[in-house]
Amino acid sequence: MPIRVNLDLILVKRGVKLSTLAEAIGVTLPNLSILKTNKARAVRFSTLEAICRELDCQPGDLLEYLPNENNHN
Amino acid sequence: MSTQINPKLPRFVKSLLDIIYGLLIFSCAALLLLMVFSPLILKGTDSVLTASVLVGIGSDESHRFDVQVTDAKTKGIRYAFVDEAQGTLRLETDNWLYIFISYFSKLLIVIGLTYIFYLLRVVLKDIIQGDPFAAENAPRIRRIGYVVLLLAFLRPTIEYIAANEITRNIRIDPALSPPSPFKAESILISLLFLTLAQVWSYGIELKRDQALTI
Repeated sequence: MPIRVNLDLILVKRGVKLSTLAEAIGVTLPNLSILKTNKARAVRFSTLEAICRELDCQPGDLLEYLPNENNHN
Repeated sequence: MSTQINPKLPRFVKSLLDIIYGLLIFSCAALLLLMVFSPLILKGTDSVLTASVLVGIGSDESHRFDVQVTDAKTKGIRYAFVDEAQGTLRLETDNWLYIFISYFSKLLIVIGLTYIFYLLRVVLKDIIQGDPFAAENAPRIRRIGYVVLLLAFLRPTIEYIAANEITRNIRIDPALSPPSPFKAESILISLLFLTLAQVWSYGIELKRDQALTI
């Protein structure tokens, strides 16, 4: 997948647990884990907004485009 | 988005499927037992069993049966015949080979139908439980299509062989011949199921997309 989700890095930087974030934004832990491990196929803007609000970050901090992976695929 | 589905309709359809499935299982068992025990049954004096086979009337492949018009109100009718005349020939016989051919051809068809109804029941069970797009349902529907396609060719072929074997050894007036070996409707039904399987696969993919949308 050419879009990488760097949620794990942001969580470490902010010192927040995944379960805490899941409870705060109203997403189940298994679903947030799917996002963290880059298995999600799509993200709603509402979810992105909630994560950015809780972790005080920008969408660009969370999402990274990897053009080399895209070419490889 | 929630979908309002009347729960009574799928349950009613499932009940019907359950009844038909039960009858097919019973038929399979009965045919198998009759085939196995028919030699013992026929051993008894004056014992006969009924062999039945689909036949066409008339000696040629068009199965044309000429009829005589005796009191036509319309004078313009010069000639009349029944085209594609077919029926079931029933023989009360003590010949075990005829019995075997008759029951074996039916058994193969009943086994195919039993498997189709088994798959339909499983798919409907998933629908009733609220998960119609379970990953296994598209292959199941595809399998139904393949079995229908197989029966579309297998059933007429078996009936043809059975009728040929029986009719070539007996003389009946009017002449009988094996039935038409091809049934186009079954091909159409098979294609419908195979198309439905493709649509179902797409639905499963959409459901997976939705499940993996956070």
